[in-house]
Amino acid sequence: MNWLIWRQHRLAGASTVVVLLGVGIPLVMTGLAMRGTYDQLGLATCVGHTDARCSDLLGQFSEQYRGWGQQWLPWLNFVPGLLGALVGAPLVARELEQRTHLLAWTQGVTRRRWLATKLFVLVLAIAILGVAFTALISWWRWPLDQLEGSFQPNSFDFEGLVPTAYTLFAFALGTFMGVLLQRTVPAMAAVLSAFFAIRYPLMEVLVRPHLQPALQLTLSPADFVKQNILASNGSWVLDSGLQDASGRHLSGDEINHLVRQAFESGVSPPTWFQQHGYLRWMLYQPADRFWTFQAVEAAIFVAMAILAMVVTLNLVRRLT
Amino acid sequence: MKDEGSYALSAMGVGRRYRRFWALRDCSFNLVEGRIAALVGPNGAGKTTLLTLIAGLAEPNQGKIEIFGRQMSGQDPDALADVGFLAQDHPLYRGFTVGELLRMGQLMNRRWDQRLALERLERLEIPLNRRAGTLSGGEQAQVSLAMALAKLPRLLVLDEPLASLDPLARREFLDRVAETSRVHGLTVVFSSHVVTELQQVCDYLLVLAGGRLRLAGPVAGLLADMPSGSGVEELVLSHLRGLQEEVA
Repeated sequence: MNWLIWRQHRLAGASTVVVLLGVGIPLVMTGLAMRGTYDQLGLATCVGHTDARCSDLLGQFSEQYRGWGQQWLPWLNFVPGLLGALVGAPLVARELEQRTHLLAWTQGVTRRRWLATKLFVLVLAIAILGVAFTALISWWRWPLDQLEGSFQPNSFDFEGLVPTAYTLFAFALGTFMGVLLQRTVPAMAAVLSAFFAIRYPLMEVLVRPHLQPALQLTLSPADFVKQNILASNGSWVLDSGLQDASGRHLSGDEINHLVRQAFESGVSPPTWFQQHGYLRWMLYQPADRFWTFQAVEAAIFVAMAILAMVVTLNLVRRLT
Repeated sequence: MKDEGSYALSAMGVGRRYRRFWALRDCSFNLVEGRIAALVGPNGAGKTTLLTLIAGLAEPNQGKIEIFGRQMSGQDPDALADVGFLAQDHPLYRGFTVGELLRMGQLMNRRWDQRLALERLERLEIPLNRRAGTLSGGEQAQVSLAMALAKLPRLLVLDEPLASLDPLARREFLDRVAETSRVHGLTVVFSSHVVTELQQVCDYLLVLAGGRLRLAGPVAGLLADMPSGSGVEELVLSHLRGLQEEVA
């Protein structure tokens, strides 16, 4: 069976490796450059605290490299969905379309074992590639993570356990859609839309911020140093705003109104807020929860992947 | 009288439904080991449905199918090992070479006679390094048959095996099937439109129409009831005509 799986998927495997090299080689090159600049500027001394010299250095470094992390890396969000569409969706659907299932399922191996073996081998391959590529991205992001933490979606999504878990789920979902719809192209469309819907709006926007109750910090509106520390120690700031003396959070309109009042009285808004008893509140997930969040989110996606595979194996039994 | 367990193939009240439509109903017959049975009937009669059930590709909604006394099921590897199946349009992995297809068969079957397949393909002059997609329809059918035979099945199920063959190849194909059956005691069920060519090899006839089995029995016995000189074709046609008159 292993030879058969290799024979049927060697093209997909080779393409995946080519794509990963195509992304990986530039990553290694820019990663080395970024680390060089990081050392050259002596940014290690600025980790976890801020002063004028550091914010100046950080500015220089950010100008040069932050764009990489924010503009190019997010494109990798498409990789799991594409793998689900290109490898998962055709896994059974193409056999049904080309009617080769009639050949495969009348050999001496039950279709259940045939599919289970394929899923096992491909899951293993995806897990190995996923872990290796995640390691490369984490290595690349290290200087950025030192400065801005790794809890922001732009780094959280590409580090630790979740990228591999996303890819396994996308692959399993693709296989499931292929068996459900029995056609490759509709299954590809279905897995792409379903995966992105679950991965982004549902998980990242609605669920992830609340995996554990967020902490709240209130501080003086004029204390910028403290505000920056929260961001630079690697915490994930979910939301922030102003509250009045009674602790009520102000709406955007109310804040705009107060800013106008501040300008009319000729005082800078932060100072004005402080003088009038307003406090700045910040809702955040502390940096030390990073691995808990990684583990929980990865476990959710792996569980969904297992569920999709079990359902698929049962559906295949009933196909003709 | 043979006892029930010794039949090569038994259908017992078999029915198969696709949503609300019954493609096959109340189908019962017994086939003794070593028989070559022809399954004939008009398009949409349920022939492929019946063969699909025999090959374990689908489960009946009613009744059951037994092969050498064991219930046929696609979930049972031993049952699968006993049946060689050649699907209509003989699907193959088009990108695989003939040699790779044989290797696949070797890896996916506990019982596999590679030499048998190689000899057969050599005689037909089908090179092992050709991709299946580049072979003619007839050659693809021959590769599929070679794979089905290399499995060393006890029951060979062929769905319209003659459709893509030229007349000479049909003759050779049928002779080959008959010879294999004789030598190895192989039981064969095959469906066909081409009634004329069946007579030379088949000794059992199954006529299917409208999802129901209309006629089943040894050819010799069935012909004895016909006017002398009539062949299988007249037998099948007279039976199908009779049905049409009944309906009319």
